[in-house]
Amino acid sequence: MSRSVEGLLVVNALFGVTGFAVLWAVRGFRTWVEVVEFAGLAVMTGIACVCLGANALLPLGFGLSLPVVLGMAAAVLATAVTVGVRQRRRLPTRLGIVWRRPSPGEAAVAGFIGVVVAFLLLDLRLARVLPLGSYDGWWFWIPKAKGIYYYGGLDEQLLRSLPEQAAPLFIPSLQAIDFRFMGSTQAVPLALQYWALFAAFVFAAAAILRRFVPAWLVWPFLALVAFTPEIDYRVTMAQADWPLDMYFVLAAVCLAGWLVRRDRILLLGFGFMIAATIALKREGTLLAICLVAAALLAHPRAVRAVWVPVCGVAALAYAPTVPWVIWWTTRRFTSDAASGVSPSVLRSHTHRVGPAFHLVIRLMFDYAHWFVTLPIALIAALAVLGSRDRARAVAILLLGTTVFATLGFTWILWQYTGVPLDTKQSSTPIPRAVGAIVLLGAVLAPLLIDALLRPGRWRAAPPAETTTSPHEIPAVR
Amino acid sequence: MVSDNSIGADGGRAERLRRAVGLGLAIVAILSAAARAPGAFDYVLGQHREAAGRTAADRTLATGNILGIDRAYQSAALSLVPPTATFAVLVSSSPAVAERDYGINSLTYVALPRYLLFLLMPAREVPARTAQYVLCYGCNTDPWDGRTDWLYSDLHGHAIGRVNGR
Repeated sequence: MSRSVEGLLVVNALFGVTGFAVLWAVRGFRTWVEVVEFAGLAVMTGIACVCLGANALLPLGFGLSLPVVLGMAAAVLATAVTVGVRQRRRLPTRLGIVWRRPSPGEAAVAGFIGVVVAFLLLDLRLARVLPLGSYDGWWFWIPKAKGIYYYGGLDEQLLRSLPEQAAPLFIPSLQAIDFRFMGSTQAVPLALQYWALFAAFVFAAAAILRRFVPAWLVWPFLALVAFTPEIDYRVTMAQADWPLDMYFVLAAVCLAGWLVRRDRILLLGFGFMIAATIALKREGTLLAICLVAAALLAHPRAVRAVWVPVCGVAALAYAPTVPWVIWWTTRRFTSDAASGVSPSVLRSHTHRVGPAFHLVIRLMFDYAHWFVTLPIALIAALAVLGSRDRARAVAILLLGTTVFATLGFTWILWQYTGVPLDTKQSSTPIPRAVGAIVLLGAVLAPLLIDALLRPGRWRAAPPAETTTSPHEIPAVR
Repeated sequence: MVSDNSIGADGGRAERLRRAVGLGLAIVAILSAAARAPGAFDYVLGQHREAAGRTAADRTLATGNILGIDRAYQSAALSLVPPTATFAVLVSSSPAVAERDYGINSLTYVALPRYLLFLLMPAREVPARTAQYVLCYGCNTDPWDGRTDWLYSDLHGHAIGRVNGR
C-alpha cells in the first residue's frame, strides 16, 4: 500500500470517527449493528464537519496544516462527546444480531446488498488505477487545493489567476486535507477519496431510508444509483458535482423525513447536509433554495410549524460560507453568477429560454445517462399526490424541487451565454447538475412507493416532536 | 388524521389503484437494477483492464496526453523546473499560428498554461519578464536565445530554458 493510499485511509477514518461522535451525540446507537449501519452517514457527516470548519477558517487566514486539521476534528469530537454525555448517551450494549433462518425476501435483499457491495469493491479497484480525467479538476479545483497545501492557506495571487475564482472552498479544502495526509499532492489517488464519498453516500442513504421503509424497497433503488451509467462514468472524477449531488440528496431525504415525522434530529441532519451543499458549489445555493421552496409548498399554511424551522435552519446553514463570501467580495473577485440577476442581461438573451428549457428536460430524462430512475420516482410522486397521507409532503418535495431546479438550470443557461446550449460535458455543467435531481428521485422513490403500497403506515398522525427520535425508531422490517 | 374507516368505495378503489401503481413501480425498479447490473460490471471491469497496465508516471501524465501535450515535454518540465522556481509558459501568438506552424490544436493551445501550472505547482507561474524558467511550446525562442540556457528542446518547437541571472 502506497503512502498516499495509507494517508487517505487514515484521513477517512478520522472523518468517520468525527462523524460517529456527532451521530452518537445527537441520536445515540442502540446496537453495534446499528453502528455499522451508520458508518456511511458517519463518514459523510465527518467530512461535512471538518470541511465546513476549513471552509470557515481559510478566509480567516488559517492554513490546513496537520495540527489545524486535527484540531478541527478534535473540536468537533469534544463538542459531540460533551453533548452526548449531557444527553446521557451510552455505548451500545447489544450486538443487535438475531440468529434465525432468513426469509426469501431477506435473502433477496441480502443478494441486492451483496451485488452493490461487490460493485463498489470493483469500483474501488478501478479508482486505484484511474488517471485524473476531469477537466475542472486540473483546471481549477486541484490547483486551489495545491495552493492551500503549499502556500499555507488562501493565496490571493494564485486564486486571481484561476477560473471560478468565487467558487466555494469545500472541495479544495477536502483535497488539501487529503494531500496533507497523503504527504504529497499527487492528483491520481484523489479518485479514492471520491470513491469513499460515493460508498459512504450509498450506505448513508440506506441508513436514513431504513428508518422509514423496508430494505427490499431501499436496496433496488440504491443498486439503480450504483449502476447508473453517468454515475459510474463520473463519480471518481475530482470535481465538485457529485459530492454536491450526494450532500444535496442527503439533505433532501433528511428534510423529507422531518416533514413526515417532525423529528428534530432529521432537521439537524438537513442543516448539516444543506450547509455542505451550499459550501460545495454555487449551484448548491440554487438547489438549496429549490428544496426549501418545495418544502414550504408542501405545507403552505404551516408557517410556524414548517416555514420558520426550515427557513431558519437553511439560513443558519449558510453561515460557514459567509467568511468566504466576505473574503472574495472584499477583494473584488469576479463571479460569473453576478450578471444572472440583471434584468437587462436576461432581456437581451430571451431567445435562449426555450432551447435552454428543452435542453434541461432532455438531459434530465436521458435514458443513456440516467436509466429510468427519475420517471419511476415522478410517477410515484404523482400517484401519492392524490392521497391525503403524510407522504404527500414527500411527493410535493420531489415534484416541487424538480420543477424549481428545472427552472433554475434553465435560468443558468439563459443568462450565462458562455455556456453553450449543447450536451457536451466539457462545455456545460448542466448534464452534471441534473444528476442532483435524478439522484433525489432515486432516494425519495422508496418512500413514495412504500406510501403507495402501505398507506396505513403513512396515515397516522406524526408523533410528538419532543418524544421521538430515530434512536427510538428502529429500522422498518 | 385520516383513519382507514373513513375510506369509502371510491377511496378504496383509488387506494387499490395506487397500490397497483406502487407495486408496478417497485417491480420496474427491481428489474431495471437487475438488467443494468451486467452492463455496469462490464463497464468497471473494462475500465480497469484499460487502466491497470499503466505505470504511475503514465497515470500522472495521462491528463496531459489527453490534452495533446507531448509526454516527453511534460516529463522534462517536471524534472527540470524546481518546486521553488518561477516559470512562464510561452506559446504562439494565436491558435491559428500554433496549428499552422507547429501542429498544435486549439484545445492544447488553450489548456497548456493552466495544465502546466497544475503539473508544476508549487512552482509559481509569473509574467515572462520575471520568470526564472521559460516553457516554450511552439513559440519563437529567438528573443530568449542570448539570455537563456536551453535545458530541453525537440524538433517540434518545444523547449524549456533557464533564464540567466534570475
